[in-house]
Amino acid sequence: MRVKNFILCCFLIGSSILFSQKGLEIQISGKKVEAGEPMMVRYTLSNHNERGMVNRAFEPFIVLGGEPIERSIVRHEFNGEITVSQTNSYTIYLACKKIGKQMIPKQAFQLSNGSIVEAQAIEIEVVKPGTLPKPPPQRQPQSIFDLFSMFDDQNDPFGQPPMSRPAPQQNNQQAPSGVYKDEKQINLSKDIFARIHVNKSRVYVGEPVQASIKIYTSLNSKGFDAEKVPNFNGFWAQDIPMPEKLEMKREVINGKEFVSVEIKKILLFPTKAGTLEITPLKMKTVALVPIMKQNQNQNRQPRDLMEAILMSMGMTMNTMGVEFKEIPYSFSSGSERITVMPLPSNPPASFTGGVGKFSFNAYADKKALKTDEALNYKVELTGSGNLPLIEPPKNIWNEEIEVYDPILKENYNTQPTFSGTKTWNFVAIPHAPGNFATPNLEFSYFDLDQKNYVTLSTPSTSLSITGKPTSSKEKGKKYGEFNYAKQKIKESKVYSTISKFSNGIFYGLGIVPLILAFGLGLLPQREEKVDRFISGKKISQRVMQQMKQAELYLGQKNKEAFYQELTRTYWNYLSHKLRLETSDLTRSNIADKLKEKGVSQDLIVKMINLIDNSEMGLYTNYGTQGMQEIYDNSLVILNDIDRQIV
Amino acid sequence: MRNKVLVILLFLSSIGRGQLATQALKAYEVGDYANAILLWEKELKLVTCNKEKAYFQLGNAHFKNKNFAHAIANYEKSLRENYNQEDVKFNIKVVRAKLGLDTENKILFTNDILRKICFFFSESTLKLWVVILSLLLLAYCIFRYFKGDLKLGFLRHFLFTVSCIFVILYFLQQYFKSETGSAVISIESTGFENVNLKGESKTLREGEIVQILDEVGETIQVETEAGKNYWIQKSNVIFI
Repeated sequence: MRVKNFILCCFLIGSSILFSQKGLEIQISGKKVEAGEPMMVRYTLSNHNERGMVNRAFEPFIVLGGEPIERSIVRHEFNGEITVSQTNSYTIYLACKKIGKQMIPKQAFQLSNGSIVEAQAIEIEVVKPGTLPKPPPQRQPQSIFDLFSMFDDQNDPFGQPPMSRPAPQQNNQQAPSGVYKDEKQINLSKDIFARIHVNKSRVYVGEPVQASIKIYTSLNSKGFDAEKVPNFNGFWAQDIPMPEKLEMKREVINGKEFVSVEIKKILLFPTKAGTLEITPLKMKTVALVPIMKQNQNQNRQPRDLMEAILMSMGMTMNTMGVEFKEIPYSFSSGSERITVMPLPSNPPASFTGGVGKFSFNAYADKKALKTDEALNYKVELTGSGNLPLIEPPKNIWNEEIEVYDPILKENYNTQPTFSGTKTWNFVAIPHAPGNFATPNLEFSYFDLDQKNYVTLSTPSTSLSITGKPTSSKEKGKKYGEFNYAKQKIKESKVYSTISKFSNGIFYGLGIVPLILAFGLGLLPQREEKVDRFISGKKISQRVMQQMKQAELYLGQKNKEAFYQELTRTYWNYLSHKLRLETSDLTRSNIADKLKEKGVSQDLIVKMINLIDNSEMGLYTNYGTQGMQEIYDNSLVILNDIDRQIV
Repeated sequence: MRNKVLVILLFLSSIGRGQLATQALKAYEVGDYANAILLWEKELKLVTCNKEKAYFQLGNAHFKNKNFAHAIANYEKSLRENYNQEDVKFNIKVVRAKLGLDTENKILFTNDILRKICFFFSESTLKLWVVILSLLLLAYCIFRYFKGDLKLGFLRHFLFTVSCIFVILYFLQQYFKSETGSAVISIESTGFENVNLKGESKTLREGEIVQILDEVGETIQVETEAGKNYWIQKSNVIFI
């Protein structure tokens, strides 16, 4: 089975897709085959739901054998919808003994709905044995399998292959070619490299050059990324789309076999004369380098029985094995020089940069129209050459017709040569009735075959315009007249240095005060100071007012009111000073709080006595003679407390 | 004697300030643009340099010297210093037209209201007003704290709001000035859609303004004016 696979793979390497139509693809191993040598033909049907080959007739070829039908079913899930695509491959090995051009006959496949899909006949040239060049020396099966496993992800050499693919073991006594014996010997410069190929090295300005970038590798590697993309300075680059599946080819360079992949094709139009250089491309990759596995423990004595067993197993399995080492590697292509010759120095006035071969046409969509009606005037350029770089031909209209900037439409093909159509659509609006004409257009280009300028022209069409004259904003505007490119730049002859406002001042005197002000604004407004000095005694204003009231009552000898006022004064003063609620004002509380606030015991006793006395005076018939004394005492004691209180 | 001192002082100050600029303007006038470029570049390294004007002059000198991409880069730098410069915007359009680029590009010439407002006042004006207003505010708040409210709450809020707006404008200006990450394509060069060269490639025009998205080695990924991303060589752009 393994050998069979190997043979199949060998065929596949050289095989080319010969024919493909909707859902049917034919692959053959080669268009030339030696008489008697096996060749392969493979029919691949996708999404046909066929029943099988109708009749397997391959005369004059002899059927050597075939592979079982290979079926592959791929399920795609997209937005919850499951679509199933099925591909069936029929592989047949053929041989022919007749020399000359032979045909593999048409093959037919019957579908489940009864209809038939036909595969066309294939012409094969059968040559004498020994006339074809020998196929390149076959590599070890292992490395060939690996080459393919490299591309097993949708055949994409740049997709990331599975990170940990087990390295195949090999029980071969001889080191296979391409396998390094020692890590120190590794020199990947001969294994992986890139080239930039150009199809011409001497061109005219505007003449396309096709550049292709190819990577050559003889090793398996994990994706390629550019570190430095090439510079196509001086060229206008036109991309040539690459197929989804990049084509891989086998190439033998200096006797070594490489897989080459063309990763990029670009069409370059030189925009200036001189020697232009394409700078090298620099790429990086992680190469999987096969290295002969060394047994480092060969001469060491095993420490125990287990190690001895392991070592003996290692010796049988790994000594001669190949180990794959991941080695990051950067490589670059060489640079390419292209000599660009200037165009002859006497271009016609109507030359707008075209180089190649073109045909030219211009037409208006109407011949008769009313004023203010839009006329589409199309200038069409078809051909091959540097179409993207060509400017529209100058066209000059009558002053009564307003012309807008053209709308550009481009349609290019890149294969086999770069060609296409470029259309400028000018919208023209006539503003006066009368008989006018479209411009007499001329277009010149440089013909690469004749090596000379060619001028084409179109006749003008007459236009008859009816209706009333209308006014326009930009009468007689000619294409390209209003243009910033023709303006002069604004200049100034004045320059003044500026004195910089230093950041230190800005932060110190601007930002910090702002934050401070914000903080101050947040603080509650400071309570007003209520303390006042009155006749040298520092008692709160309110207390002082009450004392004044008491003094008034004293003068009136109004005993009850006097004591009432006095008692209220004490309570008010104490509750205010000691920050006690009125309900908490008991004698013991007052004594404790005053003591806490650092008032002497002596004074506390005096205060308590004062309260007692005044209450006594209020509720008993104490007499009026003590009133003056209590009043004086109150002033002294309150003042003392106020002084001692913290 | 006094006159002599004055003259010497004036002379010294003229050396310190704007001597390079004067030389550069003169060089520009006589058509020695290469020299003008050198002198303006020197001037730009000075602390006292008026960057928005110097970049504008440097851009003009580059334009006259036919370094169109450099001209655009310097005009852009000038606009970054002060967005409200119609002359600079006009010149950018002229250069772009000369290079065959679109002059009504949405990215370049949208009416960026925020930028316009931010650069309505110059940096120094903003700083000065923030200092004046916040000192006033602080004085008022201190007075209010110690001496009681003057019943001018409106004034306090007004001062605070205005100075905050100025501070915000100042920092926005600083942000806009520090914005980097854009570049001008200095030479017509080919951009690749993917770093492994897969996919499309396109020619980026000289003078096109691009945003830098990523960098791998000597290759950078840029976003073009059309909004597409390409990888190009670092040496093909001028960083703004």
